[in-house]
Amino acid sequence: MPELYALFEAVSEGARKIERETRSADNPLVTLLLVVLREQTQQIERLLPKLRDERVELADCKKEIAIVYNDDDLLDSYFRSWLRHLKWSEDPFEAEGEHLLTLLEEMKSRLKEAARLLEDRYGYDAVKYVIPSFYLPILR
Amino acid sequence: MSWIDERVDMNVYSQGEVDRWVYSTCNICSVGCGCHIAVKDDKIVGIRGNAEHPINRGRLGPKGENQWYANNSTDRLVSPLIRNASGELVPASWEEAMSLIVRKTKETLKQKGPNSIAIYSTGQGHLEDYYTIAKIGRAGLRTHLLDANTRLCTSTTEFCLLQSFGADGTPASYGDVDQADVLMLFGHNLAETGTVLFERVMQRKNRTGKPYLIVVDPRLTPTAKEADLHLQLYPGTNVPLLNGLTRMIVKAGQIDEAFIRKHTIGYDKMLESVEEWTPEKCAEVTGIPVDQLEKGAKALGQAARVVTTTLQGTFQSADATTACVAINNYHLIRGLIGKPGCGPLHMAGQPSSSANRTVGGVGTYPAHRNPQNPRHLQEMARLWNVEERVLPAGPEKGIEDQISMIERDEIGLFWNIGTNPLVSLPNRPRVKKALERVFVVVQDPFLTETAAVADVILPAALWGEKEGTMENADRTINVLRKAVDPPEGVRSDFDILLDFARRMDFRDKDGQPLIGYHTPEQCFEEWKRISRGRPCDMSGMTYDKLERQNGIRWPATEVAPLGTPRLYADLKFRTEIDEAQSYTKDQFTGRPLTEAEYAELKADGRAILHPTRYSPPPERPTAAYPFWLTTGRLVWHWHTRTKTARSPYLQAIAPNAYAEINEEDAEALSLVPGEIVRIASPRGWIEVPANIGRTVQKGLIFVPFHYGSWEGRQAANELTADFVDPLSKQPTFKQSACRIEKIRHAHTLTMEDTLQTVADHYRIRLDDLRRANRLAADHGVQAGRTLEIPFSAANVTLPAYRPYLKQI
Repeated sequence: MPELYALFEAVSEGARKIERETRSADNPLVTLLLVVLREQTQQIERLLPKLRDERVELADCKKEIAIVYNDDDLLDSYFRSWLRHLKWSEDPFEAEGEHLLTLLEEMKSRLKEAARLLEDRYGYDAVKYVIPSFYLPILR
Repeated sequence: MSWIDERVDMNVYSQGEVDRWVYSTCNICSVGCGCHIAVKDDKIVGIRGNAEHPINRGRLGPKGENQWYANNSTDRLVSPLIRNASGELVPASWEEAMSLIVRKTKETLKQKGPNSIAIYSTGQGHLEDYYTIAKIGRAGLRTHLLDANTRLCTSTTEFCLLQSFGADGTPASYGDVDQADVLMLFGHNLAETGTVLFERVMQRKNRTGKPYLIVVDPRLTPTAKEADLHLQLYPGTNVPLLNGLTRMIVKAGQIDEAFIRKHTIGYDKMLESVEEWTPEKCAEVTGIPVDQLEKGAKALGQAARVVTTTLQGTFQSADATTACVAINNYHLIRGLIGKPGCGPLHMAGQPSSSANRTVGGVGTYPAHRNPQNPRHLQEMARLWNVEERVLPAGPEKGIEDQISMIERDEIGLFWNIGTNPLVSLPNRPRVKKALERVFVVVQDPFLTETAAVADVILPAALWGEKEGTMENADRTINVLRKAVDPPEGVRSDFDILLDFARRMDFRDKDGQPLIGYHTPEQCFEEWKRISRGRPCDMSGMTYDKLERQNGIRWPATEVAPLGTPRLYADLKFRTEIDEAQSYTKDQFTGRPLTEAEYAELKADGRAILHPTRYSPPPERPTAAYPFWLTTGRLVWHWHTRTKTARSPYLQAIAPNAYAEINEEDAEALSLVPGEIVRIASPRGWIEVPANIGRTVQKGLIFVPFHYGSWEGRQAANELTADFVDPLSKQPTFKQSACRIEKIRHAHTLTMEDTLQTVADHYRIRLDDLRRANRLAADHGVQAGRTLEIPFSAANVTLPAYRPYLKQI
């Protein structure tokens, strides 16, 4: 499944970049963010070899997929909270933070695209309990 | 029960005898006091406590006694309103208003899909309203966006219980409070937020010396003043305190090893997480001296019967769920749960917020069903006679995430029922801006501050004008009978929801109307079937039984119709994979665990001990904002004062907000008592009088959150940061940063001036003028010197409410 592989790989790259850029920041929200980013990256590392197999069943990778999506959901919330904090504290990192938000939004778009592919392949009833509904196509 | 006598509190304003007394339940706090409503000439004219009700034996709190004035307020909404093309709210018929809502709903569903409709409800409605919202929302609209102001008051209760015990439902009850040797009120100012329960505690204490009272609070509240041990910690340090106490108890060997082995999992990891919290480190981080910590640990480590209660000081703090889980951990490692006088009693803020959780109007699926468990959704689909695939799976979105979604135009319709988010949500400027982008329906008896962003307003009935049930903080279900009809033009929340469902033509899979009931009692009968076999089984209840028994605690089945005083007496926790309400979340990040991860825990009916890693508040005092800001309630008002400000008595006592400031801080800033000061945070500012004293510790400012009128600058939530707890998504109202700015005139002294003439000119006291300018006496004050004149001053001394003193 090269398309899915590429999408998740790109998400992983995005997560690594955000982790690199934020790891020196000193705030509890960043501490949370980093733990989540690292977990997401680890799960994608486990997922990618499985996606190389065209015949992989959802049951064989649903744990990793679910964690990746749920982590992304948290990242969105924590990152936006941290951005507000940067703005309120007039932190010079705010501009870089805004740039990283764009990256985070790209990761989300890729995950939505991956969700569509997963739904096409395995069916809605199968992915319903794996992928949070906010990532699945909104109209059906 | 603890009460040794009854005392019927009554507040009636009537010429002659009333026509009838109608059975009801107080609709203010979460204690759940029984009452009767006085009716004369088809109007509510008063209230009295129900002497037979075991919770209160006739007593009522100050807000409870005065809640009925709102029913007769002349500014009740009696017609729907629609915002016209000019931006004005104008009267409309119900037909026009409901048609518009239905049209907007259908348009939004078509354009943005099901997750674009948000219903944001309340903790002050009836169980039947919430259940109907759950059914309409999930099986009709198919949305994940069901939330309520319970997110602000009680969601931490739910999530800490799910984490530790597998299901919602607070283990201990008020009966256990009556039997406890030690009662720890953790972030729980019971004297102001649950006056009747506090009176019950104090009556026993004054009679028997028990319980030993530990109060954990950064403020010297009226509750803390009655404590045997007040642990006055720094803001945002609940988890360090609990970790330190737990470590001391473990080191002293005061744990129940057999209980831990047999009935829990996760002990080693939990222990590892508290290991670093030595008494010295705990003292340094919390500000509590080691000897006081030792005293607390000794009491908590040695007592055979301990109840711990929690409320907003815990729930609205950073690390909220972890703190509550730490309390659960403590009870588990000592085996103090499921037996008389023992257990955590995580409270609720509102009279029926627990009901909203129980029946699935917020949070998880009805009757504690797990939205991630396919077997639970299959069961719901069967019970509701709908296809499983239409029921949304997975975790819900809290209100703060919904605000973000609105900012990204992902939500098209926001239906606000019985709550006032433009006063109650943190970071109000952001919330207002967001809600201005979306179609907003406001359903309320009054034109609240949130009406400013409403596109449609639906006038709703108040307490006493409708029938239904509520669930209080200790799982008691109480019934409320209808005393009078609502004013003409006004409908109950329940009837509005049924009308909406009918107009939307929601149907089950056989083509029958999705909502098949027509009255609250019929709805309750359906709900009983949904609850059967679940932890909150109410199949043994009926409206009549609830009235006869004066409330029943769930579970109450046909074989045990009188209910259950405490949960987990059999020490079987709800953690079996197909029984659990949640697969739990990572205790640090809040990420929901998958079914496979949960299965790997092998809890299988045992309670779960979690590690309690400390995560400090994201915002802390800085050079620019050097003070902590905390917000909270007064004994005299309820929430955003929609009801209590309409009581002449309550409004006269506490008409305005203020800022509590420590006397040392006031001295350093040369503030005058009652002087109007500006409190500013990175979000906004308010101008309120300074209430100087020792209630708050140095470096901390307290502002009551009740005041949010658009006229004036008194809204605490202009200041608060909108961060949330990682697990419960409850906003951290208790910890923001702020500063104090003085607002003063300048007066340059002339040759003719004396301090007295200046004071007289500005109508301030001479002492205050001296204090504001650090002047010892008249001499040395020379012409040409510029004095600071405090802007104005107000009397901010509120009378104390302490009826229990009468009993002493």
